[in-house]
Amino acid sequence: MNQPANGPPTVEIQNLSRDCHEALLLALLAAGPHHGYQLALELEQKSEGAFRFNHGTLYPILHKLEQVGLIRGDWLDEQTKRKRKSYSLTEAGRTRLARQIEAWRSFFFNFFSVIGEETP
Amino acid sequence: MSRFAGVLKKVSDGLDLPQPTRSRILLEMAGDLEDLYEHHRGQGLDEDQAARRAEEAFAVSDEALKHLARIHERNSGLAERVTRQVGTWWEKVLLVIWLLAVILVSEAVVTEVHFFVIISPFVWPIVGLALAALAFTLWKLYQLFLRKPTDPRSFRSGLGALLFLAAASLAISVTGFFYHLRWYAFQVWDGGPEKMFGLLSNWILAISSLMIIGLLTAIFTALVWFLLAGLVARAENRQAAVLLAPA
Repeated sequence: MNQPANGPPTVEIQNLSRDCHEALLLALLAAGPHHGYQLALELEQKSEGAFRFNHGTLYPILHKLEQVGLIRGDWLDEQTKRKRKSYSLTEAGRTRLARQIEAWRSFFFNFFSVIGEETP
Repeated sequence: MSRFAGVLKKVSDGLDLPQPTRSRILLEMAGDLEDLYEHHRGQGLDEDQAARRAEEAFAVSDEALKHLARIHERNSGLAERVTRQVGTWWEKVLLVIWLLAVILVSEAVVTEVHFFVIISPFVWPIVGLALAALAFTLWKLYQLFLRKPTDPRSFRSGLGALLFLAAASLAISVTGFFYHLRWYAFQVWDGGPEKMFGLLSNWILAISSLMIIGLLTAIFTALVWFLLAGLVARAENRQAAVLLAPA
């Protein structure tokens, strides 16, 4: 995502996939803390199978987001005594999500303008 | 023991990272694999089908593993890279001999009658740092052996503070050394050559005790950091070993 000095944030074509993953994960986490596997399952269910995350590719994205402080990982025991990591959105993540949503809205508006259709 | 030891072993082999970092990633994946398995079981699949579905979902490509390693490479600090080097018995023996030597030298120096004749005011902050290091070490030992926290990262968290305390002790010693050097130089300048010998011996007594206490605190603190980091690495490795053992 690009943030010009004046003007709304924009999605860069060359970073489409990365920005898309980031926006989807942040949006899911905005609803509350999730475990990694729950994120993958929920994304698939909510998008009715349109978006699918292989768990193997999910971890690098999650860990990167955690590293840059957009999400936070906490370890939980719960009743099972099994160590599980749960992710939640940080304040920086919330701000980023708001910008992502704006950037994607602008992206689709421009996209459909170019191909001559109205934004659905 | 994990029913997914095969998948986890593949991930472990493909991650070129220090063991503690690798263990944390494996722990996370193991938890998620088990939960996904339970999810599939809840949907009516039998044990084999549920396990197979979970394993398929966790198929990690070499590219993804390299990406994951690149992300964590920058976070695998000096501590993890240095402490994993001490593994063989002779390295441990050398470490213990070094520690004993430092303790014996400290004991011999500090119990010397004239050692505390002139105490520099810079010694007190160093004593404070040493006490802080001691309190932190006791807390970490309690955490490692009695409390056993859930988050594997909390074993390691704050360990770097010991290195900071060691560096601060060194910095205070050096600052004190130059402060006293300057102070006695002015005293000699004002007092004339007849007072020079007395002032010089006072200066030597003040800075020798300061430097010895400062250096010993730094060495001790660094050694304790090294030993604790080794214990933490062992605890993390044990967790990983449990995961990689076949069910």
